[in-house]
Amino acid sequence: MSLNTEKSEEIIQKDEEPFGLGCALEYFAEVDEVLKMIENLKSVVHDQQSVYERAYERYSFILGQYQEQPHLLDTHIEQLLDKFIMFIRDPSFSNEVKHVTFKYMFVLIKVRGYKIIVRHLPHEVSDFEPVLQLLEVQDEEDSETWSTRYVLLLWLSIIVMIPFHMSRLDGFNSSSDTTQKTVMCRVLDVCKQYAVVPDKCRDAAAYLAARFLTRYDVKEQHLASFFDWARKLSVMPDSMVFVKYGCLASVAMILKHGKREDLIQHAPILLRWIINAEFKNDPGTNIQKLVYKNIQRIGLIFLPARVAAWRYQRGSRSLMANLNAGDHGSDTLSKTSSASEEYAENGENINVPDEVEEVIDQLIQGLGSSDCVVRWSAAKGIGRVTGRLPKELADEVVGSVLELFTPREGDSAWHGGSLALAELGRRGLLLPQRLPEVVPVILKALDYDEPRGYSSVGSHIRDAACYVCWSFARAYEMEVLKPFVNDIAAALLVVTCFDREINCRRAASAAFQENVGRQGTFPHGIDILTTADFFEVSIRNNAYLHISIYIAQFEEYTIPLIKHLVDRKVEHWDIAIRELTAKALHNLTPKAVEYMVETVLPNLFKKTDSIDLNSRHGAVLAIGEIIYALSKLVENQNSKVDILLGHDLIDSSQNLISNFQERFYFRGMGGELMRHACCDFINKCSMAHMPFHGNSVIDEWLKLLNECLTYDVANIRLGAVHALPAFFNEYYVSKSQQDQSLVINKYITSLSSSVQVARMGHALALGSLPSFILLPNLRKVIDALIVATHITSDTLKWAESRRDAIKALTSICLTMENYIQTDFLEEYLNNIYTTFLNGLSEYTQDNRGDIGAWVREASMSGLQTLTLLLAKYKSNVLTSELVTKIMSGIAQQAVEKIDRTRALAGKIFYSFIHSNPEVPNIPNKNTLMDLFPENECELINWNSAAITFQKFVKLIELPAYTYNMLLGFVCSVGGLTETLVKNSSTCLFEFFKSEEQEKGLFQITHYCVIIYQIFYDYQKIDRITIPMFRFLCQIMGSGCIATVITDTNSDFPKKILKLVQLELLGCKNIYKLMDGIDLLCQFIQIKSEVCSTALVQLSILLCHRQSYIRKATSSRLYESLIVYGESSTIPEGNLDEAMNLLCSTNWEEAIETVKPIRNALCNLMDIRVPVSKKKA
Amino acid sequence: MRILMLGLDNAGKTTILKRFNGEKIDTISPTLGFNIKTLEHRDYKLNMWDVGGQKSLRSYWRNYFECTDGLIWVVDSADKRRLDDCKLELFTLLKEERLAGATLLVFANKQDLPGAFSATELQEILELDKIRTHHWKIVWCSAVTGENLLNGIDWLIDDIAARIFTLD
Repeated sequence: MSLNTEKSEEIIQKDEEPFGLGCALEYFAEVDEVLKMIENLKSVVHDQQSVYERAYERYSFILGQYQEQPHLLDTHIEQLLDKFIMFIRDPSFSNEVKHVTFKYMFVLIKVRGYKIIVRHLPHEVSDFEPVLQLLEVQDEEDSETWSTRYVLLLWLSIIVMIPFHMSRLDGFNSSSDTTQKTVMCRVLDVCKQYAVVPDKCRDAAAYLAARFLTRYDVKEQHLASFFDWARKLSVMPDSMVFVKYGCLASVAMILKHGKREDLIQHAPILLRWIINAEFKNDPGTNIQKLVYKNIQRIGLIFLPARVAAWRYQRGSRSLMANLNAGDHGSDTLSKTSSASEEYAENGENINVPDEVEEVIDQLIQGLGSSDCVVRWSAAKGIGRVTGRLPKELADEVVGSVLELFTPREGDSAWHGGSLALAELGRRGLLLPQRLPEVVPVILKALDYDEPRGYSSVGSHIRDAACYVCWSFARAYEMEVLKPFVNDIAAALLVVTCFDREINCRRAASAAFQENVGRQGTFPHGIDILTTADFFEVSIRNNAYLHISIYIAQFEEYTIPLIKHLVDRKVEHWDIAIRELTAKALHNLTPKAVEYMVETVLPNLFKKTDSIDLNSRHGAVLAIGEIIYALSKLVENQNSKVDILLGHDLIDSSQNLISNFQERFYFRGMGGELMRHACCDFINKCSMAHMPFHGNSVIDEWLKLLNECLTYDVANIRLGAVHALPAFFNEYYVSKSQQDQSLVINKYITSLSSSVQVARMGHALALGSLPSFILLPNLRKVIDALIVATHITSDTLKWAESRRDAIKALTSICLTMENYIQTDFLEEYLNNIYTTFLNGLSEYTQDNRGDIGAWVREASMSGLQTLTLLLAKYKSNVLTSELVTKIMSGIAQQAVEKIDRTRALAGKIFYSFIHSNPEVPNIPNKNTLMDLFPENECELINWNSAAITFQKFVKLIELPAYTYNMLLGFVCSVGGLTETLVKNSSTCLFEFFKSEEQEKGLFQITHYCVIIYQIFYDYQKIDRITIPMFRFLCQIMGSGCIATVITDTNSDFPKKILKLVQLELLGCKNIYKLMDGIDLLCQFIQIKSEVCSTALVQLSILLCHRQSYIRKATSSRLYESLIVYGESSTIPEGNLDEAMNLLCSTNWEEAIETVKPIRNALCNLMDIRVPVSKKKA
Repeated sequence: MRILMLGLDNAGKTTILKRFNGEKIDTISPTLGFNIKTLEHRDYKLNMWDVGGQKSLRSYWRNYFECTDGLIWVVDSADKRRLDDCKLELFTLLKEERLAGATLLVFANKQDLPGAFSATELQEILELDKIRTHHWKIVWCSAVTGENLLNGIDWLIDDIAARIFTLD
C-alpha cells in the first residue's frame, strides 16, 4: 500500500514537469517499466477503475514524452508489439482485456506514427482470418472501443499486402458456392463501412482501402465499383460532412498508392466528379484541401513521372561518398548524367491528355482560395504536376501563375501565386528566360502591404516571396541569376531591416543567407549576413536602428534602404513603425547627405500636404529627425545647417506649422497626431539650431506648445514638455528677462487651474525649464509647485497633478545642481523635503485603485535625487532628524502592498546606504550595510516579495525604524494578494519567533505596544484598520505572540479588544465586520475577561440584522470553539452543548426565532445576555 | 531509405536479409509472403522489403514498388538453367514506372558453391550493360558466408545518398 502511494506521488510530480521537452531525451529509458505495465495489463483491467486509470495515464505519459523524438522507441517497437499481439491472439483473454490492449497499442501508434508501426505488425496468412473476423464483430458505434477498430483496420492494411490471390483464402470455391461471402468482399465491405465513420477509424480505413483496392486481383473486380460508390455517396444531398470527407480521403489515398496505369482509366470520371460536385464550394478547410489534393493526384495520374536530369548534379550530400570518389568523382558524375539525360529526353515526347489543362486550371483556382492550407496544397500540386509536363507546357503554367499577380486579384491570390512560384523554382521548372518577368513580380510581392481598416494584409505574401527568393538560390546557376542579384539582394535586405513582422524579417534574412551561400554573387554578402542573422533581426528596434545602418554603409544598398523608408514606411499605418522610420532616417542621414537634402526632404515636405493623416504625421517626424541629423553633421564641419539646407527647405520648415494651422490640421482626432508630430518637430528644429531667432515663427511655436500642455492626452502633453527645454535654450536665451517672466507667470497661474490636466502639463513644463530662466524666478516657481502638491477639498482625488508637481520639483533640483550651494536657501530645501515626506503618506484611492502610489513613488524618487545631491554639495542640511524620517519612510514603503512601489523603495533605500559621497546621519548605518551588502544587492530582483521581505523584516529591531516597519507589515500581512500575504507573514512570524528566543519576552511585548500604538493612531481609518484586523488575526493565530497574549499581566489583549469593539461599533462595512468576527474569535483562546468580552461581542453579532453575518458568526465561532474551546472561559461541561446548539441552529432564520437560542447559548457560555439599546 | 529486394525463388533474398539482421540462417524456408526489416547502417535507416520469388507471387511484386529508393536483384549464380528467366524478370521490372530512378544493385549470390558464374560472367549473360535507365552495379557475394555483402550495400547507399533529398 505504501508503495502505491509513493508511486502516485511520483506520477503527480512527473505530471507537473513542464511539457515540451524538446529533444532532451537520449534513449527509451522506461522500456522495462512499460514492458512490465503491459504484462500486468490483465490484472490491472480487472482491478478497480482507479487503478486501471492510473496505470493507463502513467503509460501514456511515459510514451507521450517521446512524441517529439519517437525514433528513440524504434529498437523496442518489436518487443512491445509482440506482447500486445500475444494478448490479442490469446483466446483465453476476455474482450475487455483485448479492448484495453488495443487502447494501449493506439498510444504507441500515436507517438510513433502509423506508417512506422504498421510495418511491424505481423502479416502472415494465418493472421488474415482472425483479424478480419475480430473486426467484423466490432460495434461501429461503440465510442469506448474505437481504438480497437482503428488498430485492427491498420493491421489489416498490412495483411492485405500478402502476395497471394485472395480466393485462396476463402476455403471454398466462390464460383460454385454463392451463398458465402468471399474474403475479398468481406474486406471490401469493411473498407466501405469504416471509410465514412465519424471517428478516427476513417483514416485507417482510407489507408486500408488504398492498400487493398490497388491489389492486382482486387482492382480488376472492385476498383471501378469502389470509385462509383464513393462518387455517388459523396454527392448525395443528405451525406454528412464526414461522409464526404471519408470518400474524398479514400479516393485520395488510392490515387496516391495505386499504379498509374491502373488508375488512368478512372481519372477522367474522377476529375469530372471532383470539379462538378457541390462539395467543391464547401467552406470547410478539410474538404477543400482534399478536393485540391485529389485534383492534383488525378493530374499526376495523367502524366508519367520524369526522372530529373539533374538529380545527381546537386552536389553530393554524402561526405563519405565525396571523399571516396576522390579525383574521379566528377568523371562518374558526368558519365551517369549523360545516361539519365538520355532517358529524360525521351520523356519529352509524352502525350499530354486534354484533362491536364483542366487540372492546372483548377489548381490555379486553388491558389486563390481564401484558405491558407488549401493554397499550400494547390501550390504543391502545381509544382508536382508541372514537373511532369514537357518544357513548353510547363512554361505555360508559369505564365498562368504569373497572371495571378495583378492588382485586381486579392491578397490570397498573391500569396498562392508566390507559393506556386517557389514550388516551381525549387523544382527547376521556372526557366531562366522567365526570370525577367518573374523577378519584378517577386519584388512587388516583397513589398506587398495593403492597408485594411486599422491594420494591413500582406505579411503572408512577403513571407512567401522570401520563400521564392530562397528557392531561386537553390534552383539557378550563378550566371543565370546574376542580372537580378542587385535588385533581389536590396529588396531582401529592405524586408530584413524594415518589415513590421518578425517572421518576414527572419524569412528575408534566411533567404539572403541562402543566396549568399549558394550564389556567392550577392554584394558584401558574408559581411551582411553575419550582422543581420536570423536572431539579430528578431528585435524590430535593432533591425531598424542598427542593422540597417550597418548595411547602408555598402553603397549598393544605401539608397534602396532609404528610398523604401520614404516611399513605404513614412506613411505606414502603424504609428510605432512611423516613429521608428523617423529614427532610422536620422541614423541613415550621414550615409547619404546629398540624397537626403536633394531628394528625401523635398519629397517629405510634399507629403506634409497629403490628405492622408498617417503620411503627414510620418513625414513631419521624419523631417525633424533628418534636419537634426544634418545639423549634427555640419556642426562637426563648422558649418551651418541653413547653408546645407538652402532657402527652400528652410522656408518650408518655417512655414510648416502655420500651414497646418491654416488648414485646421490640429483639430479633431487627427489633430492629436499632428500635435504630437509637431512638438517633436519643434524639439528637433531647436536642437538643430534652425535660424529662426527673433522670428514670429517662434511665438507661433510657443503658442502651439502651450496649447499642447493643457491637452488631455498624456502623450501630447509630454511631447510638449519634452520640446520646451530645447526650445527655450535655443530661442529664449537672448530674450529679455521680462519675456521670460511672462512665460513663467503664465505657467504658475495655470498650476492652480481648475482642470487637472492643465495643472499636470504646466507642472511638468515648469520642471523642464532650463536653469537660466529658472534662476531669477526660483522662489516663485518652488513655492507654486509646493502649493500644487497640497491636498485641498477641491482636488481630493488629483493625485496625478500632485505627482507631476513633485516630479517637477525633483527635476528642478537636478537642473539647478550647480546652484545648490549658492542659490538654494535652506528654507527652500526644508520646504521641498516636507513636501516629499508628506507625499509618502498619500494614499488617495479612486476607481483605479491606490493612485496615491504614484505620488509616493514620485516622492521617493524626489527624496533620492535631492538627498544624493545634498550629500555632494550641502550635507549640513541633512540632519539626523531629517535623515531618520527619510530612511524610515522609505523603508516603510519597501514593505507595503504594491510590488512596483516596493521595488522602487528597495532600490532607493539601498542607494542611500551605499551612496558616494556618503549620506550622513543614517541611523544604524553599519547594521544596514551588513544587511544590504553591495555585491549582493546589485543582483537582487527587487520585485520579488520573497527576497525583499526577508531583508527588510530585520529592520524592525532597530528603534528608528520599528514603528514604520510594523506599519508597513500591517498593510502587507493584512493585505489581499495571496503571495504578498504569504511572503510577508512568514518573514514576520519567523522574525518574531527568533527575536523571542534571542531577546526574550520583553522584546515581543515592546513590539506589541507599538502595534497597539499604530492601531490607536489610525482608529477609524479603514485603510489601516481593515488590514490591521487581518494582521492581528493572523499574528494571534500564528502563536508567535502567544506569550504576550496569555500573559495575565499584559493588558495588550484587553486594550486591543477595546479598539476592535470601537471599530465595530456601528460598522456597516460587511467585509470589515467579517474580518472583525475572525479577529474576535481569536480572543477566545485567552482565558480571562477578554474571552468573555469577545464572546459577548460575538453573541451580539449572532443577532446581527443581516442574516449572512449571523450565519458567518455562528460558523466561525463553532470553528474556534473546536480549536480553542478548552482554553476559553466557557465552563467545560457546557462546551459540547454550546457547540451543538451553534451548529444545529439555522441562523439565517428571522432574528425573533434565533434570539432565544442565542440567549440560551449565552447562558451556556457563562456570559451576560446582551440587551439591545432601546432606541430613543 | 526504402530498399526492395527481389529475385527468383531460391536466390537467397531472405538469407541475405537475415544475415544483415544478425539472425540464424539455418532454418530458412521459402518465403510465403514478405518480410520487412528496419536496419541502421552508417547512420542511414534502411527499410528492407523482401518479397517471395515464386512464380505465383511475382505478379504481386507491383504492390511493393512505391517510394523505392533502391532495388536489390538477387541472382543464384549457380542456377544456370534459369538465368534466361532471371534476365527476363529483371528487364520487365526495370520498365516499371514506379521504379524509375531507383538505384539497382545486382547481387551475384552463392559464390561459395562450386560452378557458380562470376560477377563479370553474369554481367554479360544478363546483358546488364544494356541498362541505361538506372544506376546499376553487380557485386559478387555469398549470403551463407556473408562475404562481400557489405560492399554491395555500401555502394547502394552511396548512390542513393548522392541524389536523394532533392525531390519529394
